[in-house]
This record gives sequence, structure tokens and C-alpha cells, in this order.
Amino acid sequence: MASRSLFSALVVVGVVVVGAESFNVVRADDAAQFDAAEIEFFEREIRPLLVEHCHDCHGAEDFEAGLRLTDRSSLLAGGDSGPAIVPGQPAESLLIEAIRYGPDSYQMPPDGKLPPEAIAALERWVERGAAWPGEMPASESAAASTTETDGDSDYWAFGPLASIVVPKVNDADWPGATIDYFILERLEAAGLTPAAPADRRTLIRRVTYDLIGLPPTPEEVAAFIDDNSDDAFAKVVDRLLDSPHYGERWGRHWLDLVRYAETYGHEFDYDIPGAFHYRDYVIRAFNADVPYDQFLIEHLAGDMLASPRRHPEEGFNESILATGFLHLGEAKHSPVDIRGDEAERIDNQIDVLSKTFLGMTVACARCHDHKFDPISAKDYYALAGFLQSSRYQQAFIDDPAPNLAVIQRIQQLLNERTELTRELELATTSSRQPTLQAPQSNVQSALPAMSPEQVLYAAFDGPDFESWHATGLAFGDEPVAAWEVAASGRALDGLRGGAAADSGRYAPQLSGVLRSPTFTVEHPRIWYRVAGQGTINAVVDSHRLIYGPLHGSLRLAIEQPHEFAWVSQDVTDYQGHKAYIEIIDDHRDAAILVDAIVFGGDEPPTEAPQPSSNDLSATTERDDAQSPVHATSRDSAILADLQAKLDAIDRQIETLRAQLKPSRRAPAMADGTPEDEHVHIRGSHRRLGDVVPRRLLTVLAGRSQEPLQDDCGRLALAHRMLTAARPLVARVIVNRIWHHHFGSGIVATCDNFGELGEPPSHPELLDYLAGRFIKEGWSLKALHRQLLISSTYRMSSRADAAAEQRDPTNRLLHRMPIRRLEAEAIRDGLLAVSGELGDAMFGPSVAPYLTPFMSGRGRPEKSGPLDGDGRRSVYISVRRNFLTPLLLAFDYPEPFSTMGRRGATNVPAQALILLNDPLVHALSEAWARRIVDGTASDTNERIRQMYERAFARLPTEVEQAAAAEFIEQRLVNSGRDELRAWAELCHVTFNLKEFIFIR
Amino acid sequence: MGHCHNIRSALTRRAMLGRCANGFGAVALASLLSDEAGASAPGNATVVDDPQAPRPPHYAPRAKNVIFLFMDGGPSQVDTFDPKPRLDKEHGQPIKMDVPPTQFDNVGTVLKSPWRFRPRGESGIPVSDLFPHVAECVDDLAIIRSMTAEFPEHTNANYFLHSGHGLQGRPSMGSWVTYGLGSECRDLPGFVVLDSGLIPPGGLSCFTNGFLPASYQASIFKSGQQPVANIDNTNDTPQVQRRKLSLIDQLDAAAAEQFGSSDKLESAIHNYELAFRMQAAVPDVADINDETEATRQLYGLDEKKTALFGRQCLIARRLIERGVRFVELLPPKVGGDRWDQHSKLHEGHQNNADATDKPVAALLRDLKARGLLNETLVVWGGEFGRTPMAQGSDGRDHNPFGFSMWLAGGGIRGGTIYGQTDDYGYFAVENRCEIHDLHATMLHLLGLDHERLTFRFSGRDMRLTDVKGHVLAGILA
Repeated sequence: MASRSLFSALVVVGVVVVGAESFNVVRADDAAQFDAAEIEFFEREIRPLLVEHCHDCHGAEDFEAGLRLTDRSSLLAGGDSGPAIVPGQPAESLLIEAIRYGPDSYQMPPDGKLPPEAIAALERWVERGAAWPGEMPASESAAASTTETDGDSDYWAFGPLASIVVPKVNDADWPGATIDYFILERLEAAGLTPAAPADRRTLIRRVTYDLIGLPPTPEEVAAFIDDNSDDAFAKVVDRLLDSPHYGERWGRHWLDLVRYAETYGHEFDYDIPGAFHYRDYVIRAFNADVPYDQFLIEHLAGDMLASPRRHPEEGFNESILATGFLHLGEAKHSPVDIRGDEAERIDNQIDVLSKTFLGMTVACARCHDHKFDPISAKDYYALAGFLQSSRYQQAFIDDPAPNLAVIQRIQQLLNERTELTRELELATTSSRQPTLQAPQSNVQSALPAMSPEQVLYAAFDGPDFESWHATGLAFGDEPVAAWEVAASGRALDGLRGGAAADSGRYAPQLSGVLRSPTFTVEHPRIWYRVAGQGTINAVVDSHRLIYGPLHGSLRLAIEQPHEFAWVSQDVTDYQGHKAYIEIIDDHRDAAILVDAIVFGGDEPPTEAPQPSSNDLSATTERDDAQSPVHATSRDSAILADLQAKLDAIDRQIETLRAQLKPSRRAPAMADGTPEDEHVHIRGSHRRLGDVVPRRLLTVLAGRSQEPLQDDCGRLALAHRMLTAARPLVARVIVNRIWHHHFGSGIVATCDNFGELGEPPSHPELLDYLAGRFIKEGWSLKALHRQLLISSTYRMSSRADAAAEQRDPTNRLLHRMPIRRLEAEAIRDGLLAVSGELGDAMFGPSVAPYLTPFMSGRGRPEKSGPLDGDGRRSVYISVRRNFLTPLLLAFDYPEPFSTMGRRGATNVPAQALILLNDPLVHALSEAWARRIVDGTASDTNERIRQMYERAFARLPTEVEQAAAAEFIEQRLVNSGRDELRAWAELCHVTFNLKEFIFIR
Repeated sequence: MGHCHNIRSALTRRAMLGRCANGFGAVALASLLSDEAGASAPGNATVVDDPQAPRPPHYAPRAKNVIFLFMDGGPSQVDTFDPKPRLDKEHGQPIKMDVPPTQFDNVGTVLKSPWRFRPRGESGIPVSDLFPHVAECVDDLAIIRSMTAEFPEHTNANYFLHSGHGLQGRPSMGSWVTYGLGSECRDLPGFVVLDSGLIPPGGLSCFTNGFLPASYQASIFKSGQQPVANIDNTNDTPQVQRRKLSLIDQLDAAAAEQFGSSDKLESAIHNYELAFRMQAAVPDVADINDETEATRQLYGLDEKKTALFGRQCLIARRLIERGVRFVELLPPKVGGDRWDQHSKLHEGHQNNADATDKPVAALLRDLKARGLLNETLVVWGGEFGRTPMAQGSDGRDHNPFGFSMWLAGGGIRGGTIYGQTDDYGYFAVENRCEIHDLHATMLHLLGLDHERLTFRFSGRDMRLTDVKGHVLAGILA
């Protein structure tokens, strides 16, 4: 590479005239090599090619992929992928490879292959040493560099929380809560006064929708109006925060952040099994006011906690459910580029994780250092390492304790059974050696004989699973010795003398998964010596969505209940890829056993000759041994007694086994093999740069972060976020809550606190709230409370012309904004007002109602009910490719990435839905039936009740009269069809703007 | 995928523009009416209170509207517009080149085209016998033989073709165009997708507005009697509905009187007016009884094979006549599959061609006859092409490395062949085009600079063309 010291050795060797771009200076070392003919060849054949075909993208000013083709030293230095040429070796030169258009290389120039003679010329030029006339070396290295930052506390979002003095205001009577001082100070400075307080009816409708996403009932409205105590409103707030509907409302806000969905989208929209458990987790966590720092830890590492949070009544693992959010993204079956597909999934995980918790767009740094924020590509791949080191699992979430107690008793009985079997055998075959041996039976001799190209990967004959990891209870914590398997009384042929991983050791009912460490596939085939029923996956590049046409070989269905045999898996196409093995027992009544795994070879390893101690005979002769027919008469009484005991034990075992309960499963993270990721140059996994240690963004936590070695490091990452990035984490969540109560965040760009986001409108207020939030134990409910009891929140939304002029965007909050309700609140409001809303919570989602307009691959076979069984919208299944049109029309987000701020658009489809959708008509009729069947028979009284129910207010005389006239007219025109007339008025009410807006 | 490596210039200028676009003042206030998320408006548009209102382009357009004939599944280039004699010569032999991984990994021998190519029109451009009718219009077509896609799987490729990005969630090109230009039509949505029974892999998200305001989402028109969801007022008679609407007006006004109005409420009220007009306009556009017998015959409405797609092509013309900005047609369900012949290429492609060839040619002729072709851009193509060797014995697998599309109409130089593939028709080797280039060119013809048509989302000024795209000057008139 050219260095500046060479300048001293520059000599002028003559003037080479080749247009404006050339210089008459040549580096001494090169100049000496190139003769005039070579230089002339370069100028005649090569330079025009470079100028015409390459310099647009690889010129002096504008150079893609870090590569300039403007001088020889730049070619030697190369770009992201390394040197462009190796003089004398065209075959080693990337430039030549690229212009040859090989399928696996760059294909340059991109707009078409060069003519053969041009390619030949360039090959010849490189072959002969790549002569180049005099040049100035590039002024700086053209190699891609990635910048790293050491904390940038200058930028407001990353810095510590400022210690805030509550501002002084002129109108000391107005503030009702601390936040009001911050708001009022700015209003006063702008010459504005806060809007008048809202009336109680407006206020209770506003706060009820805000906190639980439903309208207040007339009884709740009346109670509030009649409550003369000073803290009447605070009581309403507390009642709503205690409502189970609070979690349904705010849980749904959270689901927007984690692009919650229950299918994988892509071509066939396959299910994400058990995804709803995550939704339920979120609802419960909000209702329980789980401290936000704990909530964050659970999201990043709930599977790694020594003592996870458990459901207070049902005992299942709550913490692990949180990690499921990482697996709720889009996923592809049959990717042609399986590693590239993994990179896409991880990219989405990083995007969601960093926007949700840090309000930062880290995913921008996938291909290059972030242009605006101090986030490097290295930062991105440092985060990727955490995910690369983690795995997907369908976690067993139920409390294992009850099953473990049963298992313990089963194990005791099995031990007794082993003893009895031994006695029985001794009694029947007294002349022979006992066939059931202690664990020291000759393990080595029992290993299969392998061909030279084969490698034994696992034999499961140690005291534990070593670096394998078992989940569920089926496999226990260690392999089972062959003699114990034999003594368990199961009919299995071909059991070796050593030991096996055995998911049936306690009971066929139990399920479990055994996972290997991650390894690099180096052989074309994997052999498993296996018995029973189950599934074996080779999980390559974390790809698990196996539905063909590609990758079918990675999943083996095991179906050999009665004997061990070798089965194999073709992994030819995956050599060089990372993989791990999953041995899965998810059968209710079967088990899977594996006693050897061998890499390589076209044929299975040959079986070792049976050890002379015939230690397998117990299995093959078991039936004989248990049968008293073969016993001598001398022992018959003893045998009968032993047999009776054995039978009694078997009965007890069966009774116990019947008590085992299968665990519920849910998508979650699992710790994998620790791995640091390479930088993918320009985001391409085919071009790897430096390895980056797993760490949090350097701008937040500095460059010298403690190395992570023992595990994937997610728990450490969570703690680092809560220490190094504590202020940012608090600011981001506090701002999200503010956004939903006041219509716009203090930082309007809720998901982007970076340079391209908007700066905070009230920075001191944000820091005050964040500081107080932390001090109050990260309690979201405490935060809601202090925002809602403020005078700010209780202002009217009525616009004042003069104030609008001074504060047209209402950034200073001189009044409360008028807000359109979210899609779910509109649908739930329709159900609630019509009386059709049920109160069931949690559980599997209701299938979406399918209209004829929802077609395409993966369409569910059956439509869900029109009214979604009266369930709240949060319980309607979120099928990526079949989202509910009614919700979509009102800006329900497509679940592709974090969406902290939904749109609130205004489109004709909304009017068309409210006017013509069958659900809206059905609910109008349901409401009308309740009115007609109700106690009030007077038209005016009925109209009053309708207004109270729909809008928490009474109609004015004008409204009353207009509605009454409508009813009268419709009764006349419909032959006094009362139900119909009232259904029409209900329908009109649903179509009033007031129904979908809150003031 | 390189996202943003072109943006090397002036950080501060960008940061500042970002602020302005996302920031304060009248623009932001106006944009609140249509969407809470700030829009960096195209052209000089500050008119955002009606998101559908027509907006001026960046410069003089060559075309006003677009009809995109989406040939879902990936028609084969070597059987349609890109003849390859080498396939005939080497038929049945192993292909003599390195084959990249394919979707089904079931690589057969070289497969010659079952259809004959012959030179057509004055330009003499060869078209296969699969398209006898479109072949007669070849002098109006600019055929790109060097298209490439980034993905060999349908769903990603469909998203990529529609939105310039391989994953779900980015706005579709029809959304971008209506966002940029609004629509000339006051009674119909600006972006219409005509569904003939086959929704492509990736589903309706292929037509999503993504992060753009929902006003720009596609309206799906089905081929049946009720083309649009909820357009049919089945519950009420027109009289009853009018009575209801009048009461709604009255009561909305009464509420505004009490509580003060706001722009948001006002525009929600206006919405009902457009919705009401749509209730009449949609059935009107779908009712083709006023078309002449000659037109019916032209589109093949009375022939079994062409009736369905012929009707859709005719509806497309009717939509364009009414000023709808962007119309996309999905291929008809013709018994087998869409253009995705992993086996039985001959039968499957023939069925698809039989159903679409005559209607597509009719659309071109009809537009031309009515003087609409020179202001309408017609684009034909799939998400990728197919392999020159067989998949199994008689199919072709996906090929994103080189395939054909054509454009016709406003601003297009007819009778053009642009780019070429190698001797097998596998890889584009000359004038290689990316989907981003296609998008850039389409926007260019509509008078929109693809680098200036942006929307601020997630900290970036997003574009249909991401950070890529070159206008394909070689196909422009």
C-alpha cells in the first residue's frame, strides 16, 4: 500500500501525456518495472475501459463499496472485499472475477458484461503486472473503515438525566400536578393561557377510553358527576388503572412496538404456535404493573433468569414468555439463501429491539456506519452476536414442580423395578451371569466401528449431557444407562451396551427437547442411531420453517417404535454453515432414544460385535424372563412372588404416569452457543469483515465493555441497557406513555430519539418524568396517575382562535387535542355500546372474520364469527396476510416493525365501513333490540339513554328533536317496525363523528 | 442489500432538510389533517387537506396514468420475448454453465421453447406464438430483456417488484404514485387493483400503503357484481340511506355547534361525501352495458377463455378514462396456476396466454384508438423469469437473473429491444436493469424524480427506489 514516505523517493521519469487525468510523476518502485509498451497498452486498452465502465461508481469522488479504480494503489488497496487486483495473478484478482460475471461473484459492470475482448485485455493487463503510468497516491486509505464512538453524552438523548428544578409560574393556582408547572411556564412565556377545564362528562369519556379503550357506562358517568369529593377524578383514574381492561388497552399499545402477529406472513402465512401467550403475558404484566426495568429484562432474557417470575395462581413461568417477542417477525419457508434469510430475521429483531427499548434506528447500520447517529456497523453486528448466540424454542412454560414430584416417585419405583428384575433374572437363570450390569459395562466396545471419513459426534455415555441442553422433563438431566433402559420394561431391540438419551425414561407422556451445541457442518451426512418416535432437526442457520421445496432433509421424522437403527440426514448443501441438532419428543404416548450420532460416510457405521457378556439379552429375552413358565418348579413360589411385586410396581408407575400433565408451550428464546458475529461488509453475509465482540452500542456503554463468554449474553445486555443506557431507556418509555395520553410525544418521533428524530418540545419535563419514573420503581401506573390528575390533562379541547395562531400545532399544549380513536377502540366501542361485548380475557385468538376481499395463499379454511364472539379486538387473531379490514381502514398497523405512533388517517373506506359493513349493522340491531326491550318506552327518554351510552352526555334539545323526528318518520314509513326504526337511529349514532373521536 | 450507500453528501444539509420536512409551521399543520405522521410532500404540494387532490409533478410528465399488468408467477422470458436458438441446439443436454441455487433444486437438462418465434410488426421484433395478439402491437412496445430481481422466492420478489423492498410493509408503487400526484378522479380511489381471482404470494400487502397515509392504499376491485368491499348498501334503500345521511349531517353539525369544530372533524365529515359518491361511481364503472358490440368483441368478452380478463382490461380502461391514477391488474384464475410452471410449462403458459393475450392487445388498441395510450403508461411483467433448463422434465424454475418485461404508451419508444441475456437466456449481460430502474423510469415518465419523491419514516427519507434506480433512457421516446 502506498505510504507517504514514498514521496521522498519520487522521481520524474518523463512526461506521459494521456489526457487531463494523468500526472507526470511516477512512483519509483513501479516506474522501474513498467516499460513503455506496457504503459502504452494500458493507455490504449485499459484506461478507456475503466473510465467508460467503472468510474461512474468507482471514481475519485464517488466510490461504491469503498473501491476506487482511479489509480494503481487504490486498486491494490481495494475496497470492502479486499484488493481489486493481484498483479500477475488474474485468477486471484477480484476485478477479473467480477468482469467474468461468475454466478457467485460480483457481476461488474452491473449494466452488462463487457465484450470478450475487453475482458481478455484486462486479464492480460493484470497478468503482466498491471502497469500504470505516474500517479499521485490516494490521499487517504480507500479501505472501508468503520468508526466507533466512545460515548457521546453531548447529544441530549444519551446524556444523564438533568437534575431538574420545577419551573416558576405566574398563575400559581392553575397547576394541579408537578408536570403542570413545566407546561404552564412555556405557555406563559409564549403569552398563552391554558384552556378552561373540560366538563366532567368529557373528562370521564376521555380518561376511560385512554386507560381501558372502552366508553364509560352511564352508571360510571353518574357516579363521577355525583362525587363531590376533591379527589373524585383521582378515584376514577385509580378505578380504571385497577380494571383488567387496562392491560388489554395498554398491552395493545405495546404490541404495536413489537410488531405482534400470530403468523409468519410470507407466502403461506404459517402459524406461529402459541404466539398468543406473549399477548397474554403483556396484558397481565401491564395489569400487574410489573416494573418496567423488570419488564425489559424479561423481554431480553426472561429465559435466563435464575428465579423467573411466576404466575401467582397458576405457577407458570411468566418471564420466559416475554422473550417470545423476538420470534414474532416475518419468516420465510424454503429460502434459497438460507444464511441470508437468517441475516434478515436478525435484522428485524435488532430493528424492533433497538427502536422499542432505545428509540434508536440501529438497523440503519447494517450496511454501513449510521449516517446521522453515532452508531457503527460494528455496533450493529455486536448486537447481532447476541441473537446469533440464541435460539428459538417452544418453551415448556408450566411450573415443573408438580411433575417433578411425580417423576421422583416414578424414579424410585423404577429403581425398585430394576432390583426386582435383577432378582427375577437371577432366580430364573442362576447358572448365568446377570445380564443387567452396572454402568461400568464396556462402553468402548459398544461403540460403532466407523470408516475413516466418519467422526463420532455424540455417544451419550457420559455422566451428563455435556454441552447438550435438555428442555422439558422427558430427557431428565443425563443419559440413561442401557441396562436401566432395559430394566424399564420397554420392548426395544438393538439397544447398545452403553447409554442413550432417552425421552421415555420416566414416562412416554412427557415431552422434551435435547439440543446440541452449535457446530459448523463439515460432512455431507449425519447418522443417528435412534429408536422410538419423534423428530430430529438439523437447524441450519436457525432455519426452522421447513415446508419444502428446499431444506426438507433437515427434518427427520423418526418412526421406529421397537428397535434401534441408523437413520441419516443429507446435509451436503449445508457444509460450511452453522447448525445444531434438536432431538424432539412431542408425542403424547411415545419416546425417542438416541445412542450415537456420527458425521460423514455414505454408509452407516458398522455395528460393533455384540459384547460377549450378552448385556443386551435382557431386552431380547425380557418377555421370557418375566414369564414364570420358564422357571423351575423349585423357584416357582419365589418367582410368582417377585412377578407379583413387579406387576404391582408397574401398576403404581402407570397410576403415577397418568398424573403427569403436559406443559403448555410458547415461543421463546433459548441460550445457544456463544458466538461473536463478523461485520457483514455492506450488509452482505458473503463478505465478512472483522469479528465484533457482543456488546451494547458504544455510544451508550463505551468501547471497553466486559467481554461475554459464558452464554449468549442477553441477560448482561439487559443489565447494561439498564445501567449504561438507563436515562435513554426511561426517557423512551415515559415519552411513549405521554404520547398516548396527549396525542403527541414530548419527542414526537416516539421510535426515533436520534438526530433525525424531533427534539423534545419540553426537554426538562421529559427528564423530570424519567427521573421520577425511575425513583418510583419504574411503575407505569404511578406515571399514568401523575399525568392524568394534572390540570394539563383536564383541559378542554376547544380551540381558541388567538391561541391557535400562536401555537398552531399545539406543541405547547395550550389545550387538549381532539383525537381520533384507534381501530380497536372503535370496534370495541361498537361492541360495548350495543351491549354485545363479552368479558372473556386471554387464551387462543378468535379467527378473523373473512370477507370475500380477503383472499390469497394461506387463507384460513374457515372464517371466524362476524362479531369475533364479542371479544375485544386485542383477541382477534393477527394473521399477517389476513388482517381485519375494519381495523386496517382505521390505521391498524401492518406488523412489520416497531410502530410507536400510528397514523390517524381519514379515508372513504372508513365511512363506507361504518355505513355498510355487516358488523356495524348487526350491532346497530343488537343495540336497538336492547332499547326496544328495555324499560324506557318514551322516545325522548330512549334517545337520552342512547346519547349517554354512546357519548357519555345528554343530547341537546336540537339533537333530541332531530332524532325524535327521524324515529317518528321511520316508524311511519316502515309500518311501525319499531326495531327497524331504532336500529336505524343506532346506526346513525355509530356514524356520528363524535363516536370515533375523543375530545 | 446496500441501503443507503449513495448518501455520502452533506450530512448537515440532510439533517436540516429532515428537520424542515418533519417540523413545524403550516405544512405540518395541514398534514395533520390527513395524517399524524409528518409528510415531506412531493413537488411543492402543501395541499394536504384532501390527500387525493391532484398535485403537480416535479416536471412535465410524459404519461398521466399507469396500468400495470402484473403477470404473477413469473412468465418465462425464453418462451415469450427473448428467443434463444441455443436452447433448440442443446435441448436435452446438461446446461454448460454454473447454475446458481434454485428454488426447487431439481435441475434438469436444457429445455427448448415449445413455441416458435417470428419477427413481427415493422420493427421485426421476434415474439413467440404464445402471444399472437400482443405480437401485432409489438411496434408499440419497448421490451426490456435484461430485467433482474433480487429474490428467487415469490413473496419476496413480489414485495420487491411492488415496493422496491423484499419484506412486507413498504408502500406499493401505486401508493407512491398517488401520494406523489394525487388523482384526477373525485369519485373513485386513486389506486385500484383489479383482482381476477389470484392474489399473489405475499397477499394484499403487495398493495399496501406501508408507512404512507392510508389514503394511498389500494382499493381492491373484485370481478363480480360487488367489486368493492362495503360499497353496496345492502341494508338500506337509497332513500333510507339518504335520510340517515341527512340526520348524520344534522347531528354532526349540532355537536360541532356545541363543542367547536376542528379540521379533523371537518375532514371526517367530507369523507362521507366521497364515500357516498363512490357508492354510485363504483357500480357505474363496473357496469359495462354501455360498451359497443365491437368493443365487446375486441376484448373477447363473449369468449370463454378471455371473458374474465377481457372484462378486467376493459374496466381498467374505464378507470383510466375517469382519471384513476394507477390501475394494477392481477392475472385471472385459469384452472391451472398463474405463470408459475414448475412443471407442464407448455400447458400452463398456454392457458395463461389464452386468457390474457387477446385482452391485453385489446387494451392497447382501445387506448390507442381513444387517444389515451400516449398519456397512459402500460407495463407488463412478472416478479422474475424462468430457467432455461428444465425443472424436472417439463417445467422451469424461478430465475431472477435475467427476464423480460415490456412497457408501452406515454413516453415509451415503441419497437424497442433493450438489454440482452446470455446465449441461454439465463443472466442479463447487457444493460442489466434492476427493479429500481424500472420504478425510476415509471416515476420519471409521470414527471416525478424518484430521488425527490420521499416520505420521512423511521428516521429516513424513504423512496420507492431506496438508494438506487436509474432512468432507462434507452426506452424513452
